[in-house]
Amino acid sequence: MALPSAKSARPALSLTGPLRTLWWLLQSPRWAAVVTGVVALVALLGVLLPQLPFWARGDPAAEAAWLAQQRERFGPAAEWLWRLGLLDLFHAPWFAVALGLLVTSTVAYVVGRLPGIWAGIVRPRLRVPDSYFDTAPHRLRAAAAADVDALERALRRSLYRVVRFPEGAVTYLFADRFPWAAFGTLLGHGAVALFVIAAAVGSAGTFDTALLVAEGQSRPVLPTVASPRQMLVKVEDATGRFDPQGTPLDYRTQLVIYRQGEEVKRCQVTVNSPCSYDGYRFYQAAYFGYGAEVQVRDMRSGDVLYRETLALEFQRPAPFVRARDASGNVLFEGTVPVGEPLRLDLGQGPTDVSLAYLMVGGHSYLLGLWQAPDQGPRLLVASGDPSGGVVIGEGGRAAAGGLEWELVRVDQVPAARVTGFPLPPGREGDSALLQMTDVAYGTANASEGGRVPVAGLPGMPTLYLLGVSERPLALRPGQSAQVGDYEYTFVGQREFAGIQVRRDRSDTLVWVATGLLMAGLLMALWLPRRRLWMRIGPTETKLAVQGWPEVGLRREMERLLARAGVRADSRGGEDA
Amino acid sequence: MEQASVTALWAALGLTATAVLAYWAYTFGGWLALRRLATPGQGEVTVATWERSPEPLGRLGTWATWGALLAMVVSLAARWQASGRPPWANMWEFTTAFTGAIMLFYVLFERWYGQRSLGAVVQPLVLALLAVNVAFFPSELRPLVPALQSKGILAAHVGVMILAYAALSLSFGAAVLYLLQGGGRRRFSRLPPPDLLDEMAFRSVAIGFPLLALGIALGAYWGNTAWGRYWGWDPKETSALVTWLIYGVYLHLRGLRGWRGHRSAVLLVAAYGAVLFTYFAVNLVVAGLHSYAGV
Ligand code: HEM
Repeated sequence: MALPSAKSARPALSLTGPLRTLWWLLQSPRWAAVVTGVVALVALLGVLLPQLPFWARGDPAAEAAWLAQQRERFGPAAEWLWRLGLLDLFHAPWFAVALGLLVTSTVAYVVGRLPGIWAGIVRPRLRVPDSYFDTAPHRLRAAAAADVDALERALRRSLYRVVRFPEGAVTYLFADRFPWAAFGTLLGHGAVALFVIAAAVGSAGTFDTALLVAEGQSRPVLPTVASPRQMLVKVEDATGRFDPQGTPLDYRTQLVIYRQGEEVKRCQVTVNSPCSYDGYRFYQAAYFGYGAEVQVRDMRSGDVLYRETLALEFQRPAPFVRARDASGNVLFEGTVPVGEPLRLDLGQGPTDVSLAYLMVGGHSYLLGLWQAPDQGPRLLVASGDPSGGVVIGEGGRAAAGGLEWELVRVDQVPAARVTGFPLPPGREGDSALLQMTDVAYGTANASEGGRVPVAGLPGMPTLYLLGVSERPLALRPGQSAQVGDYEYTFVGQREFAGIQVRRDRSDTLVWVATGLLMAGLLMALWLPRRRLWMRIGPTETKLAVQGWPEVGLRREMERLLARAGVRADSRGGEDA
Repeated sequence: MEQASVTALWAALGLTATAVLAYWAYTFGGWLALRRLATPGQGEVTVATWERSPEPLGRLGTWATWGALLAMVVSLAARWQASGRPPWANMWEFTTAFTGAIMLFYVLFERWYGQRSLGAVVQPLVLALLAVNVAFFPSELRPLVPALQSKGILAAHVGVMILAYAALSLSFGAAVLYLLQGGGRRRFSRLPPPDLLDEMAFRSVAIGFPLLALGIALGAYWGNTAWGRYWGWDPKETSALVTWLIYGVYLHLRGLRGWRGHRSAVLLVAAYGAVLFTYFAVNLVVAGLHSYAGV
């Protein structure tokens, strides 16, 4: 027989034939399981198969390179995986179709159920035909009359509302509890749809840019330079802290945001706490500690020709050497930056050697560093003619020019070749090689160029300018040196902050959906809604019940009957 | 403190092993139980003397379980004290917290339903997780990389995920017992009746499913503050979503004719596979593959 459920209370829809069937299909839990299962399965494939990384999307060269890697791994299968969209699953059109189907069905479910649930709350079906007590999926029978007053008390104590219909010797009773909890399922399902919609809306029209800004400098945010909404981001201080093993501990940046020349916001961003202004968010995205601020002045006019913060983003090998005199006193100890490699023959065939001159005790020495095949680094030390020099390996010692030399190790020092760097008039070339030694990477006072509390570092950083003069210029922070008519100044070590700027999207939609989802789930799963009908005759009590969640219904009803003084038959009907 | 936390975990391991033995003896009795498993269930149960529950064994199991829970709490508290942040930031801590949370839900369920036999499945699971933890995951404290330092939200996200997975572990236990009972029959009088097992499984999903939803949402929130995006389809977050969807499938199917009982129990066992996959495999296998792929 027809169940007196929400379904039968649904007003007939004016859909006919196949459309009507489709409408029902879309709302059925079986269909829900199929759609949800398919989305889950597809997403699982996306976990198991490598997916085109975000940085390669929209960049044909990067995409091709990534695809070539996949060909190496999967062989010819890679081609098929790619064509089917399986290597970029979450952006494949058919994945969007699957999600669309999920949203359509959940919306159909919410819309389709709403009238029935509403009717069940405002006009519940109070009476059912007697035959329902013998056919209901969840029913109980007891071979005695229940105490109706006790029953009603028990029901009310369990938060039911109760309606009685006495008819002579028989009493009919209707009781329901939390009928409105059925809205929970609508809220929950609506929220699922809302999530997908919010994501689709949010991914359209996002603004996203990344800026690398040195301390003390600023950059415009928007691509249209003259836009009235243009903002300037200035990095006042960028900090990275590391433990002695080099594990990063913390990155933070002190920012100032300007609009139309006015300071509009001043804030600090850390990795997990961005700063917001006018719908834009500023994230700490990267940190780079090897920057050097350099100034060049023309002494004839006094004009500053050049003042830049340069990122020393490459690494070059540099020998760390120690030189002792005959009585064992250390006359020199430190890292010696070397120049670009030159092809030289030092008696063992042509080798790429990087040279440096070093003054120790008033004498000039020539150092040459190269990598001997399969033997590691080699250092040539000579006073005067290179062919009379000695060659030492890492950790080795040898005497040259009256001193004992030791190659302690080979360091990697930050370096950059800077084109367009002003060279003194008369000097050829248009670039200089910058290297920095004794440099602390990421400490609170690295930027001040002060003494840094890092083990193994003797003192302040030194900036080497190669190519500006015959010998490299070595400058401490704040120091200047004049070459010809130009004065070169190492203003100080500077750090760079990578700042990502994004427009805040419709966050609200996501949070509304989360709230609805939680409320809906808790209501649907934890407020046991029940609807029960009873027929209490002189010698018999019958009960039919509907409820969700459909668990433990029978034991719950048995307990109820027991409180009204009757014991349910052991085979009163099917159970959940 | 760091050492105290490791010592306490070893104590928890010992106590859990005790609980496993006690619950097994309590639930399965011995060889006869194994024989019975091998014969197809007949629908009716004959309650032989050996099938009466040996109460002292059951009590031993319960005490050992409480002891193990206490040891886990001590371990986590010591860890928290030593590191100054919530103790679930690396695999070792995460697994310790996970086993602790399973224990917590387990003792609640044992009290709630007055059923000890669930321990016969859940305790071995906890023991296995603890064994994996001490065998494979390094316990020393290392500073966290900046992306993993977060006041509040990240810790809340991970904590909620742990609770969700722990609650879902109980549904696995109940489903396994359901299948042992012979799919709707009652092979063992000592095990709970099938409808009660079905209810226990459902209740633990009813706890775990919303928690998982909350955990994923908190993860998305954190992703937005840390990386400026809510959702990036990265393997870990996608895998958690897949797990959630599979439990969603269970919630739709469990009420349907043909899916009640046996099939739902099978589905729950499979769904727990997704939990463990998300928990271990994504970190240890898939992430490795992806980094190999040059990400
Ligand atoms: C694809 C479209 C969907 C339809 C047509 C649908 C339909 C339904 C139906 C008919 C029920 C009641 C089941 C019962 O009486 O036992 C239900 C329950 C449920 N569904 Fe869905 N569903 C859909 C999608 C989803 C999705 C994607 C989720 C999230 C994973 C979800 C989560 C739930 C939950 C948690 C329940 C149990 C609690 C409640 O009644 O709200 N559903 N769904």
